[in-house]
Amino acid sequence: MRLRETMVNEIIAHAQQGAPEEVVGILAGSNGRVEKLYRATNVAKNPRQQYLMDSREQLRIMREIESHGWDMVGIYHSHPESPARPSQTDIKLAGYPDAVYVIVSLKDRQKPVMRAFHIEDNNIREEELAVEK
Amino acid sequence: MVEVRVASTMLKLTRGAKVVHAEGGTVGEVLGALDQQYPGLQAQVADRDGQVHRFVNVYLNDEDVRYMQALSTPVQPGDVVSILPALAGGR
Ligand SMILES: [Zn+2]
Repeated sequence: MRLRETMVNEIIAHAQQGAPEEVVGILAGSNGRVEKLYRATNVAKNPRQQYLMDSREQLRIMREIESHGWDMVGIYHSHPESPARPSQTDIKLAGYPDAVYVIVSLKDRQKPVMRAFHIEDNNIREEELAVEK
Repeated sequence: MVEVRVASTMLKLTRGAKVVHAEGGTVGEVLGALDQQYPGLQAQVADRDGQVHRFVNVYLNDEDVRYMQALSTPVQPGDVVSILPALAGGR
């Protein structure tokens, strides 16, 4: 997946503003390149340990993406306290094999870590994040 | 007929069809009719009591059926039901 450095910074900023709760958002674009970032609301019961995007926002964002002729190329969420890799629950609930799952970890507050994964049928594979200036 | 757009994770059940059609007076009835054509589809969406699974979203046109009458929400011919996995995870 390719994205601009400003978007990487925006995802990290979103994660930092939302901490200690997890945050979630959608990355839209085409051919694996992100054109737009959508912040969304985490409505999980226990947002410090879970993320669940508001279902109405999810539909609204997905419709807007469609109207631009884009795809949902990525879904990002934050791990305020844990490493930047999918948890067992993240893997179990991943329903979009065509999207890349981006996770930003704030475990080391001085140095946020962002990694990306393809998740399908309980298998994960790390994806390269190509950051453009 | 009501149009139902299924999640990509359900394409195995619908034998590759992204859009399927069925009759019914409510969202639940439409899903029940589809389950006859594509066994297992209903169980992917709701439990036996008709409660939509927590991490699945069922929309009628532009609204989540949870904000209406859930699977008892009436449908009209030409309506579009969309089934989408929630964007969710956790520790
Ligand atoms: Zn996670």
